Amino acid sequence: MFNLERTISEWRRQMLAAGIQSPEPLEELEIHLREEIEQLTKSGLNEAEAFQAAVEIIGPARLLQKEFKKVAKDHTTIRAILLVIGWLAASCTLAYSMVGWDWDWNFFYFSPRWNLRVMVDLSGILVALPSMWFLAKASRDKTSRIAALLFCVLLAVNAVWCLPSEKIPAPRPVPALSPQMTDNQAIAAIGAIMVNTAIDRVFHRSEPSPIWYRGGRMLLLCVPGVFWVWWTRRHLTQKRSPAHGNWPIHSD
Amino acid sequence: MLSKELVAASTEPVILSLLCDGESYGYALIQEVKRLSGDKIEWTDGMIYPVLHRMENEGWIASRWGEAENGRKRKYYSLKKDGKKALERQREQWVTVSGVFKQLWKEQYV
Repeated sequence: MFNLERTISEWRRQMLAAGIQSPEPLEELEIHLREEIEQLTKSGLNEAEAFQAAVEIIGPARLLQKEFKKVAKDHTTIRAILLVIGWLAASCTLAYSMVGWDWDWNFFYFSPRWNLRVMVDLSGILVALPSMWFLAKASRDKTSRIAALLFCVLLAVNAVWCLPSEKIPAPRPVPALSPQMTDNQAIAAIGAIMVNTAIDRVFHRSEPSPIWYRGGRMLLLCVPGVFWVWWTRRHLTQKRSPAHGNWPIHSD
Repeated sequence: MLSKELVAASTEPVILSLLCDGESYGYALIQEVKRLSGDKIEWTDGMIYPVLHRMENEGWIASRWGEAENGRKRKYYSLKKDGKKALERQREQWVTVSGVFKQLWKEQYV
């Protein structure tokens, strides 16, 4: 004697065995199966025939599982997190390499030299920039796109700071120490002298570094922003071709 | 019967267009497509759910569990703002293709 409920339970087990283990898709499929059986029964089939026909209409478990798996792969949350981590790593690599390069060539006066440290810094730049191209290309979801924009803006802000005038700064007022000062006032004055002297020494240039060097640094730090604009425009204007993805076609 | 490729390409705009008329669920969407196409568009029914889930992940449609008149649970899908935009983009492409064919075949058969 055909028992519909038991047969549906068995079908459910087969779906689970095939790998459709998320409760929601499985429940939706079961509801669909029941609707189909109900319609087929109304059209004159008995329960057993209706069940067989409905199972065929719904499709083979393996095929359905394959399609659900593709959707799970597409799941944006994990992808977005990975993209943000990628952007963070690439931005840090670029910024660190640029600072290292500047340190080797431009502290405390401009003296370009091709030593191992500069090569390492340049390698960092050469790794970070292509990575950012691919990250910008992959950042299709809102979360990673916004995070990417933030990193690009931070790098661009850094780029602006990379182009200081490097002229000899105006003499800073140095607080005079006097015996009438309290301990706190004296500590604050000494601190101010140290900070002002340090800043003066760091940015002191008898000759500023060449404009091509400072301009080049600025452009390199702006390149990720260009990548972002390019890919964001493409993503927004040319949406994915409808020839890709998962489609409800008969498996034949 | 329509070719696999054509059915594949039209799936998203068809679902989005159907949801333009209001929320619906998997079974009803398939029945509507069959009715509108005179059974010429054949989908493997179960395959509509991965497509719906992917469109939901894209942020084009939203879903909610509800109850049918007969008390049966159902998952209803509705169109979101991004889905409307996606439909608009796809509609433009289909209208372009359709316009090209119209002109070509008009010239050929007139």
